[in-house]
Amino acid sequence: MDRNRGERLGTALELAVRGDQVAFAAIVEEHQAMVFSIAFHYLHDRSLAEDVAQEVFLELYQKLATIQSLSHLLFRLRRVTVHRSIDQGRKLNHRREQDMESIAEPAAARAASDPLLHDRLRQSLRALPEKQRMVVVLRYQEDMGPAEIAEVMDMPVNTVKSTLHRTLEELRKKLTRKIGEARYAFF
Amino acid sequence: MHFSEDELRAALTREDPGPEFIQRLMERVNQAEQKASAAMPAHGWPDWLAPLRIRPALTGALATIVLLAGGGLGYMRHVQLESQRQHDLALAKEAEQQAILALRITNAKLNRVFQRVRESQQNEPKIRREKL
Repeated sequence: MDRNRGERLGTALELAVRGDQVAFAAIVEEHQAMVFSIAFHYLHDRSLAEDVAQEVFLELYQKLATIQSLSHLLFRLRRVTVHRSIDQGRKLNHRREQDMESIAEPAAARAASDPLLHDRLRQSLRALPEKQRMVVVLRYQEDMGPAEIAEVMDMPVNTVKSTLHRTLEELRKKLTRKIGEARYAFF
Repeated sequence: MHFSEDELRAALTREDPGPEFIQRLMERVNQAEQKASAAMPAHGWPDWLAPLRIRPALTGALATIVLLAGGGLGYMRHVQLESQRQHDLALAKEAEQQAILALRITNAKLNRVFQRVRESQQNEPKIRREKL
């Protein structure tokens, strides 16, 4: 975060705490992609992810007075988003039982070097258990370190590290199996 | 199949929820504000009392403390007045006793004076006769 942006956001936070809705909208604009993407990459459902993001920001608005700084704001947003996404995922647990291929991918355009690989990665991620999935999202979407992830998810740091390691192994295995199945079907 | 961490990062890039996200959110914020203000009583509470309105347990505890403190002060005042009254009563009784004693002394003195006068009156003809 560059200095000007930081100052602008700091001012917006102060104004928003005093009830300025325009300043609150500026804070939302700054963090909406992060909140929405954590929920979206975890839930794999655009409309559910938007619902979660809306709830997260609504809760933030109601508790703005408790936010002490921009870093606290970021931590709070990530933490609430993670827990709300996991709750939402549990409510819709049965959906995960569906065949992964039958679920339509979001229509959002992505600049990717290998779109097929990225789609496969996202699909494989979707089949992971909830904690593993969220740890990967936080690590690779948000570039958070194991200690930060541990704090946000209320987990020991060593558990986060081992989960990350194990999850990457599982993803590699799943992806290899999928490509193998695709080749078999094709030939 | 092998993939790099950068590819995982690229697969999980941030996405925007869409241009109408903020608009929808601000509508919900306004609705929530309206709902909150509608839930407030028409007369409203002063700002400094607002925490009491949303914390009934705290309000009850404060009311109990105020009542107990008021009751305690009232009882202390009552005890103080009662002790003052008893003290005044004792002083009055003592004064009454002293007045009675004074009257008795006066009565005894007067009786003696009367007795002397009577004795002197009885002896007066005898003396006069002796003079004659």
